[in-house]
Amino acid sequence: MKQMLINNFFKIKEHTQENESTLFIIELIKNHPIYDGHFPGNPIVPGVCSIEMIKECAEFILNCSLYFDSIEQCKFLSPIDPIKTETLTIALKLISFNENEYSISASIMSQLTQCVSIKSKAIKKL
Amino acid sequence: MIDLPEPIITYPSILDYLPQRPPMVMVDSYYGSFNDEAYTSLYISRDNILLENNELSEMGMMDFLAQSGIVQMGNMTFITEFSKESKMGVICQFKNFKFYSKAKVGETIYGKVKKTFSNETMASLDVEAFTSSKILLKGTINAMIINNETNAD
Repeated sequence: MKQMLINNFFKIKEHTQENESTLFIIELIKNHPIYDGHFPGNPIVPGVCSIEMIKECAEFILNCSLYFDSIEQCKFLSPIDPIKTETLTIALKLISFNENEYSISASIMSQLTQCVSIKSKAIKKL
Repeated sequence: MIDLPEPIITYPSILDYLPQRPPMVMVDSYYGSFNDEAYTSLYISRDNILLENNELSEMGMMDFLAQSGIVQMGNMTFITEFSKESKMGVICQFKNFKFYSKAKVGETIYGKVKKTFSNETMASLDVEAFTSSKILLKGTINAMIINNETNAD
């Protein structure tokens, strides 16, 4: 399973699971070329990369590849500066509709600030 | 799906409407606004940073639509002249995104942006990505309009 961002844009430092919820502590990799353009001299994690990091954390739990069927809602609440931000917390709740379909609800926190929240549906790649 | 005229803004002039810079520029052409619907496009090159398995990834498609919305909002504000200052859209929400398909390297994807609401500080845009033969992604983007006081260059 090859993922786009894990281990080159971010690293999973810790994860703890309780029932359907998993808490990830992740570290951003500050010198990724994405920041050359987003934005020059003022790096900010692109919102779409936040969404992909959440999906890749779900793939990590399930040990399979997923693709999005839909995103009911994704709110970008606070920008994430990879230089100032040592670690982020991703709180992720996975609910299985059936063998191949999952509801993914998650939020990304920087210390006490909620940066991103998402409700989505993903399907296992067969 | 639609016969578009020649684009009125192309790369690199489109950078005047976007804060993103390579390799994160995901729109290369703007065709203008027709009946409240604006159109954009992106040629998917082999060196696009958001490729996955030779296709534009979900991230790439979403960012294409987000940047299409930003370009259109820039034009909207320039055209309606809310003020004499340059303004830019900042995406704050994706809503009801539905993924249908993907496009490959060498294809051109098109974006349709329809403003459903706007005032001086906010806008809601219905967006759609498609190729000449299929729909890729549909949804709604909510954005805030901010003064663009700093030049991203």
